Amino acid sequence: MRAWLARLSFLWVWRSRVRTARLFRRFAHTELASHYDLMIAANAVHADAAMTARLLRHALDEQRHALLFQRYADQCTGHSLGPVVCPSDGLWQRFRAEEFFAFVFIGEARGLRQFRSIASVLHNRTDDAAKHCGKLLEAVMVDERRHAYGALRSLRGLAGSRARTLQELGRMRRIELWWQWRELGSAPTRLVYTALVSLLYVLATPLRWWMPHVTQRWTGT
Amino acid sequence: VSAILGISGGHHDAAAALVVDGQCVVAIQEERLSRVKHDARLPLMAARACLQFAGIPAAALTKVVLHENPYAALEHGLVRSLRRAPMGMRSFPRAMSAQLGGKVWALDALSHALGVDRQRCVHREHHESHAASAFFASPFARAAVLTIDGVGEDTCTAIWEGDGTSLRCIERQPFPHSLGLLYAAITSYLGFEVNGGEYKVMGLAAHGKPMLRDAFDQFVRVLPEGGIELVPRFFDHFDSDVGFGKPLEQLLGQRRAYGLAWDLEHPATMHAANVAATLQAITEEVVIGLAQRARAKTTADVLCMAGGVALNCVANAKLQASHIFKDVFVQPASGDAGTALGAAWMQAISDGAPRQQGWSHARWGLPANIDDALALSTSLGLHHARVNDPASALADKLMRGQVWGLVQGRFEWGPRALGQRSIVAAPKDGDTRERVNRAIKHREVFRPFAPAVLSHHLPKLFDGTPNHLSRFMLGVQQVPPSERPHLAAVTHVDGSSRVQSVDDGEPLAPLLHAMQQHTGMPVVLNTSLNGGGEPMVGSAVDALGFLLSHSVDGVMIEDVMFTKRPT
Repeated sequence: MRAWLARLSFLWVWRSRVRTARLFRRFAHTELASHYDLMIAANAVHADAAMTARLLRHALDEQRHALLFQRYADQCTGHSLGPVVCPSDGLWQRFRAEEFFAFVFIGEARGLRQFRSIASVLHNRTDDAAKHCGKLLEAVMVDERRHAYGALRSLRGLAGSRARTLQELGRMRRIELWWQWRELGSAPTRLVYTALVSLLYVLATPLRWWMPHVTQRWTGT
Repeated sequence: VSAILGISGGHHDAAAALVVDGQCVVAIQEERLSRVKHDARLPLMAARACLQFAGIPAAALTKVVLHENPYAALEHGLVRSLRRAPMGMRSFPRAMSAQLGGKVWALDALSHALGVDRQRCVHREHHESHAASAFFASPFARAAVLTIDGVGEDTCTAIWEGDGTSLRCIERQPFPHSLGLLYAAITSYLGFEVNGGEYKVMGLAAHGKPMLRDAFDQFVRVLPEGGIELVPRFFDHFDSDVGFGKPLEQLLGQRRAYGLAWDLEHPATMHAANVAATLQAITEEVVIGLAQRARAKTTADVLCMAGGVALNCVANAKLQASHIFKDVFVQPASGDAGTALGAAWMQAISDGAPRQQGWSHARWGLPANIDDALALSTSLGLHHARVNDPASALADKLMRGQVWGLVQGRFEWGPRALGQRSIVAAPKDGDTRERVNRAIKHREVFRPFAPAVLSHHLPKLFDGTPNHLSRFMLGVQQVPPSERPHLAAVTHVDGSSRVQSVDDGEPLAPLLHAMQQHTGMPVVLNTSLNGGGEPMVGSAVDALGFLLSHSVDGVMIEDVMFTKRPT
């Protein structure tokens, strides 16, 4: 059902180059945020060289993907949309190592599903734009598969048992659901906030007539 | 023991600095740890790293000091918005959201995150923090201090007088008359990112001519008594991503889109270069005017500078050459990051701590762990070789036209790579500049690279002498025409060069001596160890990550050479 919905929504997105660019900028944003989190994690586990190496490779892949998606978005619009800027999500600081890898696995698996859905839509098309985009996604999916497997392997190693692994995955899915719920709620909250603050501004506007104009170029103290 | 943690955050380049008994122990920009360039968030990673490095638990901190007064910032934000009514309505919700949603709670957030009693979390003022960061790092007992910034609380520029451990504000120029905001607006107009692209404008200026003064005179006036006056209708200071209004575009032409290719023979690109050159000329004029005013208002004969504008090397060099002051000192992190240190110093000195002796280096960050690097290298399948004489081994590679990353000791404080986290190459070949710009750093082709040179050789190779600016790579000097063929990779189009002078005994000196043995010139091309859009490398993990993802020939960490392939 979810794959079907993803395919349907992508068909709508694909009809507009601007919408396609926006979607790929969003992908770039996610990949870059992931790069930051993985770099922090790689630095944090520096005493374990094998784990550091896995996280570092993963982080560099995410950075490369972000750049690929950003460039593709620029191609869609025919001009550069500027650098993708985002903060890290602070996952390593916020979660235990098991939770972190569970989160990474869930994210990678979801990304993979989404890319696969889009690639399946593009697969039936013969135009150059679709072929180009399809190839880009296929190249990224190779890495995503490896990342999902690597994150799961790290999680299993840390959790120690299959039951604990499933438990961690279940917990992170619930946390993600809670975040999605909050994200859903943030749109109407923002609307209410903007309306109230704008009203406050209108009410306070008469105060401007009491404010002295700044005429001094220099003020001594 | 007095242990004070200074914090700057909320604008750009967040940082933390730990001052113990008045002495700076460690200072770190958040971006070096979070890997987000110009990271603006409250620098909790940097704060914790400072405490861990010094071995001081948060509970033992005497105070945590924020670089600005968050309540005054909120008040000034409100007043500015209302003054623009009804035009300010569009940006008001966003501006208030930034203040009420985070900045105004910064002290509470720090108290909560670090586990420090809220009573011990205090604030200073933004320009005071800038001024302290410059004066207390300088070797001067008495000096005039100029802080030239975008805006902090409601101040854009301020003149101070520093004497021993006292720092007194003499005059301020209030918002909106800000050289920093003018520079930011034109940076954005030229298609660069604000709070990060300003130095690109400075580099571009050398390619143009200051021939747009008439147009600039319509929106900016250089005051004869020193300072600047902006015509507000040309600017939009409330939209910090852009910073200018439609009238400015009508006057100067359509803004340059981000990411366009820089073809310096194309008329549109030349127009951009001319805009940059005109801005640079005005900046220099304003800085000189401010220095003259500071000289008149104080009796000091030396000057310290801080604030984002103080990173303008060309203006700094003109100021030095003007002889308004006998000497000029600029703190290496004179942008907003430096305010973390200034706030901590100001608080420490207010509490009775002694003043630190003048800074001779900027190595205040964290060291790279070579054992980590060796183990990680093996796991990544990289090759490494320990060498007996690292400087000679590296010089040998550079002489073969190779480009290497160099990681030595603790990383730098501030935006300049001074040999601790650097990309180094031989300075002779102009093609090297092309390679580093295009293939390694993926940056604009017009941007120059800086040389590092042994101090006592500087007068032989450049038109100048070593000074406080050259120590931290914060000024420029001319390359004599006779030397330009030997220094092609580090000479800008106007014949200038942002020289770093290196004294014997500094970590970079052995490499320069080795280069001298090979070439007769103790000079290397020295640029920051990072790729496009990335912050400078911090740890050994970052350094090997850089080696994996960029086309450098290798990275030397302490005395070990790391390469992708066996050499």
